Amino acid sequence: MPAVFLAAALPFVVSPILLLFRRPDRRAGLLSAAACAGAFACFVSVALGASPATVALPWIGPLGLSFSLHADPLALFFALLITGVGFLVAAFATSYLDSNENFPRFFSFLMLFTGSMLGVVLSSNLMALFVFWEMTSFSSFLLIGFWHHRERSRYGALKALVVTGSGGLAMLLGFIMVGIVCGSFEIAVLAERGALLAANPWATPAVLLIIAGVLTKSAQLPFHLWLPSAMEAPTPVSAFLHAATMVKAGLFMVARLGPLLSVVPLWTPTLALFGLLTMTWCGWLALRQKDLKALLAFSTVSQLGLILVLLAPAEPDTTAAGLLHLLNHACFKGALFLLVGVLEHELHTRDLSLMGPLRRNMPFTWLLIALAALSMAGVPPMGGFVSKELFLDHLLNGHPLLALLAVAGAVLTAAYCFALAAGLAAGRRPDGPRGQDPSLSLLLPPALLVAATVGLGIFPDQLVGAPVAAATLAATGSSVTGHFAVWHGAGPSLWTSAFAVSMGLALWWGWWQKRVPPASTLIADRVYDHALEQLETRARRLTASYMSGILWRYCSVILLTVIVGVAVVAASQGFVIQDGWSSRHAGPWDLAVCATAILAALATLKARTRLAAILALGASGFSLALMFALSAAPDLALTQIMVETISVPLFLAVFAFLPPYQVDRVRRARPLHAVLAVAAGLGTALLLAASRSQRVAEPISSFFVEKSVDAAGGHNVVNVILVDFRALDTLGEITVLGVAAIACYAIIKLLSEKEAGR
Amino acid sequence: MHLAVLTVVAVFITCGVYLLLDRTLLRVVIGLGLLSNGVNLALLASGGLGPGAAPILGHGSAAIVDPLPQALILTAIVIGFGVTALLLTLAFASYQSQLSDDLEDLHGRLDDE
Amino acid sequence: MMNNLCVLPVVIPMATGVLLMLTQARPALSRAIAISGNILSLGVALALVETVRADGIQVLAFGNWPAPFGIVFTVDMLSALMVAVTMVVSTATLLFASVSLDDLHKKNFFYPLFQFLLMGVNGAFLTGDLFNLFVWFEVLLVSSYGLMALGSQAYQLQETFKYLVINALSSALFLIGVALIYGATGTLNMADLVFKFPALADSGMAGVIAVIFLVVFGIKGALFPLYVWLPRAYYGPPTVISGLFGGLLTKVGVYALFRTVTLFFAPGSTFVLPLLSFVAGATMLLGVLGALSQWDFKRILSYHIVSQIGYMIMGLAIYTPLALAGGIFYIIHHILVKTSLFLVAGAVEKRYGTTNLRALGGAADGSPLLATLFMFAGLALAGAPPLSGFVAKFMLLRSGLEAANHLVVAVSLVVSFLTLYSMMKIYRYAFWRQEAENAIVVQGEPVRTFAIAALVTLSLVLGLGGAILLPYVEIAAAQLLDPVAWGTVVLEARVR
Repeated sequence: MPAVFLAAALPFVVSPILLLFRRPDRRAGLLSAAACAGAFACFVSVALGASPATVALPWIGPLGLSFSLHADPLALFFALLITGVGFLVAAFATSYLDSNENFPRFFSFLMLFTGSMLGVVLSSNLMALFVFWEMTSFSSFLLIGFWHHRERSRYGALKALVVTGSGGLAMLLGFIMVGIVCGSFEIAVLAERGALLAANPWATPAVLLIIAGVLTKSAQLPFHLWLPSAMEAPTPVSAFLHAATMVKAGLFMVARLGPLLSVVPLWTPTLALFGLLTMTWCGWLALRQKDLKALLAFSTVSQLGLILVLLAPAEPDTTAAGLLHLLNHACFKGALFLLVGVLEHELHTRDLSLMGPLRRNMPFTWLLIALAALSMAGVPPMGGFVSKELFLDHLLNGHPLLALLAVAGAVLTAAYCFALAAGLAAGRRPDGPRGQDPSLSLLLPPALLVAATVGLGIFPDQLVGAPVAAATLAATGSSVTGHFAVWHGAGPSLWTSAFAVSMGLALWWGWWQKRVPPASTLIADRVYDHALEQLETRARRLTASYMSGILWRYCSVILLTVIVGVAVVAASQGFVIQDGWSSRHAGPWDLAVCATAILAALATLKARTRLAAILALGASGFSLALMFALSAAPDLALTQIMVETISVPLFLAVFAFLPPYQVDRVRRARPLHAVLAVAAGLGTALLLAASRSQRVAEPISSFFVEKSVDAAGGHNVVNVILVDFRALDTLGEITVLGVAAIACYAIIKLLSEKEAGR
Repeated sequence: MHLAVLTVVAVFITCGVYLLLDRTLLRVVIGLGLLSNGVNLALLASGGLGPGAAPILGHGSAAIVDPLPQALILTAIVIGFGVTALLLTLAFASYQSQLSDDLEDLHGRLDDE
Repeated sequence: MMNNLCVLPVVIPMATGVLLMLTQARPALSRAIAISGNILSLGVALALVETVRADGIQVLAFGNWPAPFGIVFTVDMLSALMVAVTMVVSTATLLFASVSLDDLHKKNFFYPLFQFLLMGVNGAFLTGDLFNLFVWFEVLLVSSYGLMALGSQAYQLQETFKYLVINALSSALFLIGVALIYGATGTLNMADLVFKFPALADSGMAGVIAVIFLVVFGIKGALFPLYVWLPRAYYGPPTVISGLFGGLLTKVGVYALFRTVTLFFAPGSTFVLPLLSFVAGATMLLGVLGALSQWDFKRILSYHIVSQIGYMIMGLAIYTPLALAGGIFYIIHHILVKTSLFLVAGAVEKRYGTTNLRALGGAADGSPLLATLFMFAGLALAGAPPLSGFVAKFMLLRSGLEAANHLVVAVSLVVSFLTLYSMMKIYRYAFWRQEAENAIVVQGEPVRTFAIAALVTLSLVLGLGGAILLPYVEIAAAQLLDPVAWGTVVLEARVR
């Protein structure tokens, strides 16, 4: 079995197995960590070339769908990141969760997510990628709502699903459009058919739809609203899904499809603009948060914007920088989330303004937070510095307005990082809660991540130079020109960087410390809440307006539909009313019977008592029988008489129990009903005349007349039809009678049992 | 003959539909009865309405009317009878348990909708 | 090809139904007989599917009277698939019902009515005669009246009354349509009509008849604006019966539309397909908005039936091989998934005594397996990957885009999203939150869960293993798109 397949399937296999564990069993966590480690090892073996990178897995070939996996360097870069961070998070969560939590469920969902995320990066088919993309949304929904008894958790879970799910559907449409235009869903094939796409008018809508998917998944403006609410998830989930991996699926998509989609001129500038705006605006929002997780959430959104800007051009140098920062961000932000989790665990609060001094009581925790924050701020020699230098380098060569935005973003980032690190050191309340450093098992996973980000600052090229270069080559098709180094020489980017850090320091020191501006509700949140509320209210009003439950209204709708439909079609299709029907001449008896029938029918309308109405109905039935008799249909006449003879007493018997007979209770709608009724009656008669007048073929019944005696042995053709030619109809008819009988019996029996029991 | 029959069809269906759209249980049931009578007559008309003898062979070689619609109507009458019986039962049972024969009262809208 | 196998899906339920009337007093025996009968029919249905795949369309002329004179059963791939999926869901439903209904229902003809319903449904799927279709409709309807009123609760009785009146109106329209068709063409056989119906196009008669039948089948199939009867009618009966109805009954109307529209209404018509396209969009949208307005597990599901019908009609309206195949895939998927969702509602109701979302809560803690099954089925309904709904929806979206039918594609995407939202509403209220205090642990839960799990597994199999079903629905679509070949085969079938 190829290692790629094994690694991708492992989480999906483990996920249901975990559910078999009993509730307080921490071994579920260990198994998950082991699965991540195993998958990680598999990917390493693929990266070293010890195992094939491609596995063909069929799905629905004729539709162009396959589950084939292709672990190119870009996919491996992400896969190693996912399983690596996944391992640390699973290990952390094993000791972090309270012993009364539902371990099996938590880790089962976590593995489901891990597998889906691996599927996103490894799929070689656009539709399979979409499958896993959506599955990450669903597993994220389950994980955010893990503490489902809390209202905020449910709210956050739904919001994440609503936003990423709707974006996903837009993206699906974009994908299908791209697939139709290019004639394939295989990403490798698509990459060569950019020219086809560029020449097609669908290109722009398709790209915009895919951008919608990217922006929602990576929580970019104006879809940033879901990530802060998603912070209701247990902290390991926030670290894993909402900082290190899932939110980067959008970025992965940009890296993966960039070369194809950047043939559409809209792609790069749109993404870059959204990225920059998000980076700056959400940096500002992060600065205003007191809740540590909210601060980290906005900071994540802001950092994702930064990476998006780097990946948008689909050029080798910027892509390499983007991937490096993506890795950095996974390390420092993952660490920060885990450490905030530790704080929450120890201090039972996440509010920055309520914390006591940490530096004394929790020195190691604080040190790790400070190092990670410095890396995020872009202070040398941390990893964040290296990639932020490259970012500034890229933008300083661009439009001055964009450069300004970028610098502003960097300043704000530095400011909230200092606020975080220094704010925790001293504590805003000397009497606030004081915890102590947790056990090694909780400290080690974040420590490893922090060590990674420090290492990435000092030896960036030695540690990840080769993988990033290979991933860049795989993503863009060209090689990186430079290499990573902590010291680039004194250029404009270094000065800008220094400026940003010092301005950030100043902003924090001079302003933030004195007056923390309160965080208000997001506008996007208000729009979201309002939209959902309106949706439900309007749906309720609309539905209530026509679901009256009143029978005559329902029947009117049906009649109106058929009458209007027939009228419109008849008018538009050139329907001609003609009378080319040669029937026998009507004799005096015929006319007399017809007149009786008409009078009887009219009498049912006018009858003022129940008895009169029922008798009028009976009279119409008996006149019908006479019409049958006069029209050479003796069997029909007999049957009709029999049926009427039974029906009339039945009616009388049943309705003897009813209250006084009421006529025309509906006053207002009666004229409309009269119109409908006349249209129905007249329409039927006219259509019937027309259908008979233009008969296009001889009726099949001559066959019955011919064969009745010889082949079927009966003289009464109608009877022969019933029992032989069309015996199946009769079988059905008898069944209807029998079933009606048992149904009546059951209804009455149960009703009387109920009455008796009452 | 067909004009007379078509008139009866039109009147039956008109009266039937008008009663069907009433609020009173019994009038709805009577309306359906009229409607199905009208429809059966329409089926008969689709066979052509003669001239011709009853479709019973062996009485000479006279032309007979189209037998197929008659067979269809027979089936329809019997089915209609079964359904009417069930309808009556339901109307009765429904009235017994709700004590109203006004379909406006039997709207079925629940409080939690 | 003449084949006597064709009649067994009607005969077996009938015989079983008659037998079950005699074993009323012994529910355990009844259950065994009913399930055996179902499994037998299922076997026949699968054999029919394979026969049609191998040998093409099968025909059975009753009494050896050839078409168009006698009644024929015509089994193409669509018919065979419909019968097969009917037997699958009805078996699961039966299993579920046997441990969820009380003796009150079982001893008052539940089992026979159930079998006669199947008889009618299968007959409607198999027949090739227009009037015979009417008869099977009546058989299934009269059984459904019985089942819907079973229990004689006040609400049930009044809603069944309305349901019956509306269906009686629809039956009257059906007969008027039959009269017009017979008046104009002198035939009732569908294969014969393939050749005779087009002659009516010039005079406008064809269009008029098409409208009448679209309305008749639209009422049965719950299309816009004719679905108003459905939500309350399906709310009354015991949930397991609603599940059977929700999965099956409307699909008989949809099947009849697929059959008649492809055979004679669409070819040569300029308005039928655009009209269906509009109706499909409106049905989807209004159905899902109805679902969003509700706070009851069962009623939400009922409105989703309506909404989902729109997708099937969308496939019919686009009218390409891929679209029709997608539509049929959707029907099969929907029957499985919708029934399983109703059964989940039934299982939840058994446990907590209500289906009101506001009163429910915490079922994910009380019954995690049920929550998982609901999650799968709910996501499948919303068309989420990689379940069966996704494959069907993918086919529809792709064919819609290829046919440049942008509006209905856009509507279908929005409705997918709202469906997902609605399913998650159920999940959030019924399965999340604190567990309701009033949990009643009742027996029979393993059997109920098994019945649901079987259907959900099938949905997963049809999603991941869509390649298994695809060739079959492609054959079905190809047969539908070639009515002349269908008609020729039926008319020329002779006894071997």
